[in-house]
Amino acid sequence: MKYLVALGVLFTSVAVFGQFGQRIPGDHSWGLKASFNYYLPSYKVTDEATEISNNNNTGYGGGIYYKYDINDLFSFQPEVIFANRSGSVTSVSSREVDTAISITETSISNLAQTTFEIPLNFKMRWDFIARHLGAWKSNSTFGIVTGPRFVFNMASSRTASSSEVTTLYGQQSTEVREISATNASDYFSLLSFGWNVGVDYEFAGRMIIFGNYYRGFTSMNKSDFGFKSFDNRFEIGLGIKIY
Amino acid sequence: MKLKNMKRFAPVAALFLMGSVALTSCQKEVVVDETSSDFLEVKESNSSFLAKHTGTWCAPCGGWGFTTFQSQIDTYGDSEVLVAVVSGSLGGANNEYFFDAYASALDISATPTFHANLGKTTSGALVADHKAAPVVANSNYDLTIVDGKIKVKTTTKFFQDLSGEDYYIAPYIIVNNIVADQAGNPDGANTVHKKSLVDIATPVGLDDNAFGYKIASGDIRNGYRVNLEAEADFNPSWNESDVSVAILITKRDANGKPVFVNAFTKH
Repeated sequence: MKYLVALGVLFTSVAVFGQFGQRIPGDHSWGLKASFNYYLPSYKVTDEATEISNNNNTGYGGGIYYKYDINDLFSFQPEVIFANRSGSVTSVSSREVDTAISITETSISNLAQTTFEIPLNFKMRWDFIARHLGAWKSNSTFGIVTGPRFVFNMASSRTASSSEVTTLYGQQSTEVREISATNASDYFSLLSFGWNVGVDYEFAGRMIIFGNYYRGFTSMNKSDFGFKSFDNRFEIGLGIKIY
Repeated sequence: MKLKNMKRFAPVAALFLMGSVALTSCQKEVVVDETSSDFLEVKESNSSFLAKHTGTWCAPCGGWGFTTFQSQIDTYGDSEVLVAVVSGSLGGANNEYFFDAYASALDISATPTFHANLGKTTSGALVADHKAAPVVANSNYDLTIVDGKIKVKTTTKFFQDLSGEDYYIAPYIIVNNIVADQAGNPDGANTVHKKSLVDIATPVGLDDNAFGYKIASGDIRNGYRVNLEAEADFNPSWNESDVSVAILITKRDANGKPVFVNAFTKH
């Protein structure tokens, strides 16, 4: 399914950009962006016996943007971005199966994920007026960017170390499992959705510096792990207008 | 190519490049499960539980009962779990408790009675059917005899995803070749009793329970394993090499009676 989605997006993007590639009028532009990303996923347990702790994720992203200036103040700026992140999450699940039986499972997952993302941003921008403040402030704009973002899980891996302790009549038996998945599609949701808010600053005619906050509204992982995780991400990056 | 033309096609080329990288990285999932734990190895196999309900005071038990059980030992002794549930004196063993418990649970009113897998009948087809059935759970054990105690460590492993039922194991102490009187047997007081169920290994702090101890309940995942350590008294009149364990795995029906799941012993 995700192959079809990705191919669909690719061909649609090719068709769209291909059209503009023939003749991009003055109120259209496109360029490249790259960012460093810091993830602070928020968790919501679906199983009351589960506790989540110890997570931090870092990553990077890169892609292209297209900007259509609707008028002097507003623009529409869809983007196509690939992002990669890695980090870990620890979950502890305890359940008392019976008065004589209890099971506690501690799982430490190291995760890596490549996502294909489509932010559909709307931008409000103000031109800076050159007042002999130097070249980098001339021909520059400050913008506020916001819009929905669709995040597709393209590739992922997961290594998990799980310790399952069964206490039976006061006796403990411990199961230790090491799980490695080159494609953790059983763990990650194929598609998640959220909203993006950020600012950018265009200077020197073609350079862009930007910062974003993205909040996911749907879970990044499948719910049968006892919790849901929501994207909560800060991005700082640079861009360059190509055309 | 002119710079202007390159700019025109750059976005398209970039999309193709990034899409290709992403798609080729989507490999088929491979999961490696390497386990290091404190469990005994448990085989995914089924064995039937073939029992003789008998009495030392019962003359037919010492006649056709003995020959029938010997025939079962000859046929199934290397593959199934055979036990003799005996009433009467077996040199101080705790056998009477189990005779009464089995008679009650299986509504047995006559001796000798042969039963398989906690049903009232036994047949080759029943044994073959269980052997071929999907394995729900199986066990293994280690046995040591120290300081007058028979210490048993068991591991039970589940081979299916299960839900909603409780599972029990009964680690029975089986002693072979007990010499005791047997009515109806030509050897009389020197009759050699085979595979007698003499006790159950009990977890420390618990009382004897004829059909064992609950080891799993609720949602049980395929591959789940659990250990249980238990012990029983060793009778010095027994030969240590004649002592073994027969593990009976059961669940319960609506009336709380045991329902056979699997059995294990070392052959």
